[in-house]
Amino acid sequence: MKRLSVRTYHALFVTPALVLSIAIVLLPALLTFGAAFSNWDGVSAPSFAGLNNFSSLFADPVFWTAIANNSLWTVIFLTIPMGIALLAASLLMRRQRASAAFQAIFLLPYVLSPVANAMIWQNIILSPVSGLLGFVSKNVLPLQSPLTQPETALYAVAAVDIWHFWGYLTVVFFAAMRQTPEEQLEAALLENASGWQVFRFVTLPNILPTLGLMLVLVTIFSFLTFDYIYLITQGGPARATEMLSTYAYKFAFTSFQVGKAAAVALVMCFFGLIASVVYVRISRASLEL
Amino acid sequence: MAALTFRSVGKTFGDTEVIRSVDLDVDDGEFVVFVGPSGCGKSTLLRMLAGLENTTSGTIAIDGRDVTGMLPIERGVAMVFQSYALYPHMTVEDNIGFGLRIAGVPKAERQRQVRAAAEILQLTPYLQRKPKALSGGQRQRVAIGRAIVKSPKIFLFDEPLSNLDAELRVQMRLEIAALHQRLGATMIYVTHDQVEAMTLADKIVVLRGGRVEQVGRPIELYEDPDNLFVAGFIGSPKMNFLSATVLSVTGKVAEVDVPGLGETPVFIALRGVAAPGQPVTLGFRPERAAIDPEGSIAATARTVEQLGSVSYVYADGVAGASVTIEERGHSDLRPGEAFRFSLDATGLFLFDADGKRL
Amino acid sequence: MRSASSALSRPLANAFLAGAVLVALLPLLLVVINAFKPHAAVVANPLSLPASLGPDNFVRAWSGGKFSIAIVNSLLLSGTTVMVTLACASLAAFALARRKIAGWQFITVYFLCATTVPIQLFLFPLYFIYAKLGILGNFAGTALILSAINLPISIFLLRAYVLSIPQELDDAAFMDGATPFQTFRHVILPLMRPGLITVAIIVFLNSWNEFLITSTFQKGRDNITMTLGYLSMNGTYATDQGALMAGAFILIAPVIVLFLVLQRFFISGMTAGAVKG
Ligand SMILES: Nc1ncnc2c1ncn2[C@@H]1O[C@H](COP(=O)(O)OP(=O)(O)OP(=O)(O)O)[C@@H](O)[C@H]1O
Ligand SMILES: [Mg+2]
Repeated sequence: MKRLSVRTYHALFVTPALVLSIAIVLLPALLTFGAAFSNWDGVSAPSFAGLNNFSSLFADPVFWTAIANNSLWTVIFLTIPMGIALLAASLLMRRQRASAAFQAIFLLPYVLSPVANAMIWQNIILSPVSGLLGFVSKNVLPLQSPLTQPETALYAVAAVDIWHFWGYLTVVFFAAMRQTPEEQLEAALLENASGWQVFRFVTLPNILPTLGLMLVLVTIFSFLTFDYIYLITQGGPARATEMLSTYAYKFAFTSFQVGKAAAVALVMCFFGLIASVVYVRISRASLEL
Repeated sequence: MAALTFRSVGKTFGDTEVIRSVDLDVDDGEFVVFVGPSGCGKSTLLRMLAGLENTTSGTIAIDGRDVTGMLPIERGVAMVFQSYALYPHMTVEDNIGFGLRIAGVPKAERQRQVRAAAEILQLTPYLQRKPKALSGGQRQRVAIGRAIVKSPKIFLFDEPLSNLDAELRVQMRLEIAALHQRLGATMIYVTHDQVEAMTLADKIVVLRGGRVEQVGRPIELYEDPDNLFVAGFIGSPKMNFLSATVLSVTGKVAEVDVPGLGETPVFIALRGVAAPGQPVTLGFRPERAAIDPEGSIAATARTVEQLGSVSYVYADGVAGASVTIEERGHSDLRPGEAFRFSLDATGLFLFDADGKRL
Repeated sequence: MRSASSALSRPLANAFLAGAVLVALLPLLLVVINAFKPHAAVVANPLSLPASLGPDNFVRAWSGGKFSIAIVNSLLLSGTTVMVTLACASLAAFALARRKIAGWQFITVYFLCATTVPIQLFLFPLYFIYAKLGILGNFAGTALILSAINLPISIFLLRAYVLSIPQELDDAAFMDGATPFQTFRHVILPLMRPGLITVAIIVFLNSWNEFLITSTFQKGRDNITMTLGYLSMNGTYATDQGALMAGAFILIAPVIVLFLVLQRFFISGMTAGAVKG
C-alpha cells in the first residue's frame, strides 16, 4: 500500500475544522445574505423581495431607535470600562505580589454565565421588592427601579454588563503592561516621574497595540450585544433598550419575518465589519502571514 | 559497488536553485564530510539524501537502488540533527526506541535493542531520564543512539557538534571516529569546522553555491586544490594569495612576476596551460615560507601570534601585499620589525582569473 | 513633589482597589447569604446574615430549575463541545503552523475573520435548517454549533503552541518512520498539553455559560441546560427569593471553583491573543 504524502495528511488535518466551520458558519452566513433580499418565514419557499426588507426597516422608527441605542452602548463601553480597567491595571502594577488575587476576584463576574448574572442583579440588587435597591428605598431614601424607567433602563443594563466585563479588560491590560521593559520603568522613576507621567510616557505607548485591539473588539461586540439586554429588559420599557440584535431576534422568532431579521443582521455586521477590517489588519502583522 | 551515488541531483525552492547538478560517488563504509560556506546547500543536500526534502531533478541511489522519492525508513538512513531534536516529553529509552515502536517491534525486543545501543554509548545509567536532565554531550549521544538502533546503511550528521563547547567537541569527535571504526557504516557528515573535516573524513566534498567544487581525500584537497576557492577554504590560517603576471612559459614551468614578492621572478610547475602576459594569482601556504635573513623577499611584521608549537607572523610585503608566515616554535620577531623570507618552490600554486588552477 | 503626591495617592489607590473588590464580590456575597434565608427575610433585609444554614432553599431550587435533567444535558453539551473543538482545532493548528498545504494563508485568514463573526450573521438560517433536519434540541447538534463558534480562537491558541515546537522534531519523527498523524499523536499532542488544557477550560466555560445559541436551539423541557433551567424559575419564583438565590448558588459555585483551580490556564489563554508575547 502506498503511503499518503505529507501534504495529503496535513490537508486531512484541517478538513474537520474547515468543514465544521463552513457548514455551521459560512454557508448559513451566505444564506443570510440571500434571505435579506427575500420574503421568507423560515418554513415555506422564499420569494425574491429586492430591497423591500431594507426599505421597510429604514422606514421603521424602531430601527433608528435601535441604531441610536447601539451607538450609545458603544460610547459607554469605549469609555467607562476602558477607564476603570486602565486605572485598575496600572494600580496592580505596583502590587505585583497581590496581583494574582486581585485578578482572580476581578475576573469572577466575567466567568459566570450571563443568565446567572442577570438574574442575580434583577432579583437581589435592582428589584424594588426584594433587592438592595428596594431595601435602600424603604429604609433610607425612596428610589425607583431604574429598569422600569425608559430614561435610565439602558444605563442600568449597561451597568450590569460593565460589572461583568471590566475584569476581563483589566486582566488583558495588566498582562500587556507587564510586558513593559523594566529598564524603562526604572529610568522613569530615576527621573522622578509622577504616577501619571509614568503611565502617559512609559506604560501607555507599550500597551498601545493591545489597547487598540480592545477598542476594536469592544466596538464590534457593542453592535452585537444581546445577552444582558434580552435577559433583563427584552428591549423595553417602551423600546428604550431595543438593540439591533433583539430587534432582529424578534423578527425571526416572534413574527417569523426571517428576511427582515437577516437584513438587520447584515446592518449589525456592517458596523462590525468596519471594525473587523481594522482588527484583521492589526492581527495579520502579528501572525507572520 | 558504490554505497551511494548522486547523479545530476538538483533542487530548487520556488525560483531559487539551491543544489545544481551534483554528481558524487561514495564507497561502502566511507566517512564523507560536506564542507562549504554558510548557505551553500550542505544541509539541503543531506536532507535530500535523508528523504526530508524532495529532489527536483536527478537521482539518488543507495546500494544501487534508486531511492529518489522514497520515505526515509525505506532508504535505510538515519540522521543526527544539529539541535539533537530529542522528544522532550520522552525518556532516553523512549527517545531511542521511538522508531522501533513506530515500526511495531515488540516491547521486549525493543528494550533489548535500546539497551544494546545505550551500552555502546555509555548511556545505560540515564535511560529513564528526560532529555532536559542531560548534559549537552549526553544529549548528543542519545541522538546518535536513536540513529544506531535503526542499524542504518548510512548515518547522516548535520553539524552534530556545533552546539557543544570546545573541549566536549574534541571528545565527541573522537567518539564519532571510534563509532565509525566499530560499526563500519557509511557516514555523511556536514560541518563548518576545518579540524572536524580534516580529521574525520575519508573524503571531503567542498560545496559552493550548490555546486561541488572538489572531492578528494583531505590531504589531496590540502596539497593539490583544483581551484582558488578550495585552496582558500581548506587550511588555517588561509593560504596566501598574491596577484601576479605570467612572464613566460617554458614547457611545464611558468616564470611569473609577483610584485608583492619583490623584483625577482618566481618559477612554478604548471598543471595546465598558461600564456605569457596572463594575469594570475599566486598562492602558497604559510608553512611554505620560511624566515631567512638570506631570503630574497622583504617584509615588515604587523602582528605575531605565538601558539607555542608554532607562531604565525602576519606581515606587510612590498607593493601593499599581505602575507602570513608560519614559523616553528617561538618567533623572535616583534611588530614593526623588518625581516626577509624565502619560499619553497614546490609549494606554489597558480590560478587563472576565474580561480581555476593552472 | 513626587513624595507628597504618592503619599496622597497611595490611600486613594487602595480605596479604589478595595471598592473594585467590593463591587465585584458584593452581588456574589448577596447570593451566598440569601441562599439560606426564607423569602420574608430576604425582603426585610437582603444584607442580613442567615439565621440558620438549612438546605430547604436548595431542595426547592433543584426541583424548580429541573436541575436533575439540566445538569446531564449541560455536561453532555459542554463535554461534547470541548471534545469536538479540541479534536478539530488541534489538528488544524498543527497543519496551519507547519504550512505544508497549499492555501494555508487563505485558510488562516478565513479563521481569523471567523474569530469575530457575529452569531446573528448565521443564526437565523441555521435555526431553520436545524428545524428542517429535526435536530433542534439535540445536544450533539447544538454542540457542533458551539464548537464551530469556539474553533477559530482555539486554533490560534494552539497554533502558537505548535509554533514553539521546533520543526526538527517533526523531521526526527519522520526519520523514525512516523506518519504525520503518528507525529501529531506521539510528539505534537503531548507537547501542547498546557495549550489543550487552556482551550478545554475556556471552551467548557463558554459553552456552560452560553445563552443565545443554547436558548434558541435547546428548546423543549427535556433539553434544557443548567442556565435555561435556572432561567425558567425567573417568573414563577419571584416570591421565593431564597430559592432563586439558592439556584444561583448551584449555578455559579461549580464554575467559581473550577475557575479558581485552573485560573492560571484561563488567564494565559484569555490574554494570549490580545498581548504580544
Ligand atoms: N525551505 C526553504 N525555502 C527556501 N529556501 C531555502 C529553504 N531551505 C534552505 N533554503 C536556502 O537554500 C540555501 C542552502 O541552505 P542550506 O541550509 O542547505 O545551507 P547550509 O550549507 O546548510 O548552510 P549552513 O552552513 O548555514 O547550515 C540557502 O540559501 C537557504 O536560504
Ligand atoms: Mg546547515
